Amino acid sequence: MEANNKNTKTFLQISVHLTGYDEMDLLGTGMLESYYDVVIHENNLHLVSEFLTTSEKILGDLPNINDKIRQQLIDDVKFNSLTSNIIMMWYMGTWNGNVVSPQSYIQGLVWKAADTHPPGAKQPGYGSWENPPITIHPPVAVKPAAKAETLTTV
Amino acid sequence: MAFEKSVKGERQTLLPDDFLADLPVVDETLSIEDDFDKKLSELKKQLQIALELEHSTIPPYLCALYSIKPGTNLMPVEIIKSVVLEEMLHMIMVANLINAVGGKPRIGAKEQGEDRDFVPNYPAHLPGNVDPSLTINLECFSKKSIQTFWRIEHPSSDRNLPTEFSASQYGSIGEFYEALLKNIITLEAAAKAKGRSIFHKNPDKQVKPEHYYGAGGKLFSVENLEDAIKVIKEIVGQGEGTLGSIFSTPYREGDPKYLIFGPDVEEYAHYFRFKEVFYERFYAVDDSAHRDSPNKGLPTGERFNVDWDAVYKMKPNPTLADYKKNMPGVYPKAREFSLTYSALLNNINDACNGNPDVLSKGIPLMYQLKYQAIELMNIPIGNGLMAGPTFEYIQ
Amino acid sequence: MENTEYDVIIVGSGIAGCVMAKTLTQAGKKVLLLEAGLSAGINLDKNGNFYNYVDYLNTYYKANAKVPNSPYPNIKDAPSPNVLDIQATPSVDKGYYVQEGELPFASDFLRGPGGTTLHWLGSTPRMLPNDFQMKTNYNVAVDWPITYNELVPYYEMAELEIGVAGDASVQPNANEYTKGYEFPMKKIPQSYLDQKFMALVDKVNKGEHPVQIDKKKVTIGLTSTPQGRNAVPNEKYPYIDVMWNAEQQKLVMTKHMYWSGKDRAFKELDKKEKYQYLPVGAVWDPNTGQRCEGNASCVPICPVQAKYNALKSLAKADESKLTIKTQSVASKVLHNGEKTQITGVVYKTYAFGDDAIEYKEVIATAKIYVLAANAIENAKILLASEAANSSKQVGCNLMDHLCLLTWGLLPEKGYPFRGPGSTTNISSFRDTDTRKDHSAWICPVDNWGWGWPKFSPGSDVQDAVKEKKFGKELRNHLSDVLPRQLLLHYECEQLPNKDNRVSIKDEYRDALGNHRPVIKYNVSDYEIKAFAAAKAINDQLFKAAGIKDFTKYGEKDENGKFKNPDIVTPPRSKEIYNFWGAGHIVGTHRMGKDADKSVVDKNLCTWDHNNLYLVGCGNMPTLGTSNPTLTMLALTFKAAEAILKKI
Repeated sequence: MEANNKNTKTFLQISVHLTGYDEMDLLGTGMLESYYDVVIHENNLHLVSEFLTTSEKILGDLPNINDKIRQQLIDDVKFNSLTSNIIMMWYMGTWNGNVVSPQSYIQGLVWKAADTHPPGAKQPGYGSWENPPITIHPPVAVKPAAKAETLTTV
Repeated sequence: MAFEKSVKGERQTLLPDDFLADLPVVDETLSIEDDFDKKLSELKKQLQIALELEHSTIPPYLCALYSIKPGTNLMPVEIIKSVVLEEMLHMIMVANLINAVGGKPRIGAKEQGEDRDFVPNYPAHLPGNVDPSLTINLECFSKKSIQTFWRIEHPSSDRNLPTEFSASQYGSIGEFYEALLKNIITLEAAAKAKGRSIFHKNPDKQVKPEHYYGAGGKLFSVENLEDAIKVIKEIVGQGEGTLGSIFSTPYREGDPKYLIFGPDVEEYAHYFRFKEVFYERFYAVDDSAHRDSPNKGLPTGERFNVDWDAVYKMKPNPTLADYKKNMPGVYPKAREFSLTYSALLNNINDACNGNPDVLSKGIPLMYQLKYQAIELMNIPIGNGLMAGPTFEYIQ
Repeated sequence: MENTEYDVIIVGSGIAGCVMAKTLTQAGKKVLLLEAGLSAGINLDKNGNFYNYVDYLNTYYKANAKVPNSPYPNIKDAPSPNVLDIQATPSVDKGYYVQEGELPFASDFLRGPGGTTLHWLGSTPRMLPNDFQMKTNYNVAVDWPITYNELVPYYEMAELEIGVAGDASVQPNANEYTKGYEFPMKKIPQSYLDQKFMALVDKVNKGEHPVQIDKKKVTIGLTSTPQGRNAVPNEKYPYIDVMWNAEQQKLVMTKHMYWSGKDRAFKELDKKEKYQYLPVGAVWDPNTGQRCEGNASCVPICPVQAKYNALKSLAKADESKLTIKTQSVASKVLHNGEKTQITGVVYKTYAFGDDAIEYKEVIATAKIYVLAANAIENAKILLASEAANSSKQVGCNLMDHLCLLTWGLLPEKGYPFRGPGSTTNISSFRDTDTRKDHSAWICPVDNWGWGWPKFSPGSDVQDAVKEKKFGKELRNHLSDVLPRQLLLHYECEQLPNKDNRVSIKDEYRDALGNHRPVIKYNVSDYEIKAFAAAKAINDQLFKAAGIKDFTKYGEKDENGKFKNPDIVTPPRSKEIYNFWGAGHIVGTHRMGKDADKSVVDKNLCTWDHNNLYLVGCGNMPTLGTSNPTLTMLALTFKAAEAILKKI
């Protein structure tokens, strides 16, 4: 599971900038290794290797990283579909529309982005839907009010 | 000792009658008023320790549970989950007991003037001097951790009741509760002799069945001695089952007292459930619980699959301080976890101190705790080990 | 021919079949239950049941399109329709249905243990009193042979059996409920999204630009939806079980007697024990699913079984009186020409495995036969048997709720994709004078974003990536848009029409040689006019409430085909509307008071055969605006009572 291999590390780091989630968020999904495997197995190795080399160079220029990604990975037809597929994989757990594994579905970043959870997994508990998601009001380290807050929107 | 046996959803109580046999009825030394008050205050302290004891096993059980990779080890997950849910139930019932005798249960924050934290500093001993030879860790699911768990729930062979209660050691959780119960009975008898009762009528502070659902059998509220005995029997029954008699009394063939397993029995003691996980099979209907039986008290029933390797190998006993210093990348996630955990303890504390309705608001926190723990366990921190949940109460 | 003599043979282990089996066996009758689906699905052993359910769940996680039937096995010997197979008509070779009508019939069902309750949403509103007398009240369709009031006792049984959570006092026509009536559980909390939406609607209702019809102001009313999912038990609910009372010759709801599975008998409740309704948990563990846990996946699968499914009822049957045969597909009932009795049921068994080709044809006999195989399957069996069809109504009057979907973005985040599928509905258009002209509708507020029409959130990610969004920009875009998604669906009542029908043709058969259903289907102006009326209201509401409309009908895919082929245009109009199937398959063997115009009488016994009963939604003469399961179950209790009276 460890990102000890250089290519996996590059894949992880470029994924951070492609997805907008930090390294710990991506590692926390537990999907890094299997996603890297999908990239290797579902693509021309030569292309993947070029993609990683280009990514490494881009990662060396952090101040301009978004421009570089746009020019070299997104706008460049050579890498465009690979890059899009990688983003889709992190967000949806799919490669070309196919679910990679039960876990990849559950770990899709889209659910985080939408402040919810994948339907059928990571359930938030009875009545949770009555209130805004817990993720937007993370618990604060003070004693809660004596009475439960009730919603007063209606 | 006490068996809550539920057969196809209908609960029966299978209680050996000797439960209170060797307990004294009235303690003559309690004739002096001062001594009574002192003993009552000691009892409240001891009950607080019981609360801490019930809580102390939950983080280790949760670590083992959450370290099991999703989709694997279905039966161990179900078994450990059922045990944890019962421990949570026990915690609430001990809080009910504390409220019933006019105490104030304290969950989470440290009370002023107390030197003890509510949350143990893992690796830790069980609170209340219970089996000091035992160290409990926050660690992943393994044969070793399961063995530790059954030691926690172990019915001790030593039936000598401690005479002096706050300073002594207890061979097992069961003995701790036996001493506790003895004190409750003694104090109540002394109070009764004066036309009083140690039990306050404060139903508003009691957490009742309608506030709690989903597992661990029945939640009892406590208003009198009978309820208190019921609660302790429930706790001891679920935890250890036979409380020592499987070791201390001789085996007799076919003794129905020890034929306690089978598909119709929906729950039996944690001790046996952990044995099932360790040996990767269920108890059979005709298995005996007694160690001198032909099956040596071990399960011989249907096998189930345990994959001891399908586990996140979390580094044992993670701490916020360690992450802050050595793994600053992990620290924010660990801190988020501790905040959720602390919020959950605060929620339970509120619920057990006059606002039982808020308990349901804690459920999303409980789930969030799980997802954050698993997220941490997916983060590699070197040497083939993973980060893990920091069960620390933070302000 | 089998030797065993059963009192009753039931075909199908969906909700009607399971509740029938439970009720009859508890009354001491010997029952054979035939189920077409796999044995694994009916495993009442705790561990086996759990493992099987985990399989369903993993299949669901792995499914690329998480449609209603996606978690469940589709078997060539007993195929189920799949919504992914719906295409423009004629369509003879894709999926289970043979579609020969103007429009494709777009609703699915599940052939397997537990039936479609495995993936039903769980909404359980009752039909309204006027729904039973459409001819009398509005001069359309037909009247039922029974009134709402006659069905009330059975509604109450159905609400106990399913375990309904809700607030009876706020339901439309609450005054028509038994005085002081309560549901078994308190209402499921209405979602945060509902609350946001209700606040907007409230403002529109009270504001300067309220919604108007023909220049008259209309108030849009919302109600919390009663649902068959576990919630906080209602301490005021008094009933324990439904029991056959042999002296009174009727089914009664007990307050002191309970069914003891261990003793296989009804027993008196301990006097000391105060009864409180206990939610029924998962089949494998009563502690699981004591409350809805907010998995937000009721359709296709509730992972904790907090939502009712038929196997919960089956688990309460008296096992000693019940024989279950799975992988046993009923194909025909036997009768003797002019004779009024059914003499047997023919079923084919199949083995399941990679190369299993063992088929066997078996005949079983009983005193009474009950078809509970779903509206389409019941019709198929009757047509193949040339039974019960002297009225020529078998297979006719196929109906569904026609769902007109509308979607937009809320001005503020409502955080959808959480909670049960729907917790609130617009109820104020369920029974108005306009029913003379066009369909009435109920309009549930959906809690799951634009998932139904747009496959959100996947399509939103895809579109954003196509627009070259990535990184923080992508994340922020999704965080802004997805939590503001709102979806409504106007479920319009379809009237019975004898040309909307299920038939069989010998050239269309499945692997076992049983017929595939041949469907002719269309919608009429009565329904299309409702689409226009509903959309007009919706447009005003969205505008006044500041909801940005994204509704689009008639979208085409990359091959130029309509994404949703159910597309219609009102008379003298250029507007187009899409509608979606509701999964409410109703009306193929309707009940009535005249033998020449209906298939079953008011006790659900076929007019032609006095020992053949039909249960399921096929009996309903009209549909109303309610999800039909509750009403269908009420009728099932009525049928069970009639059967027990007879034997």
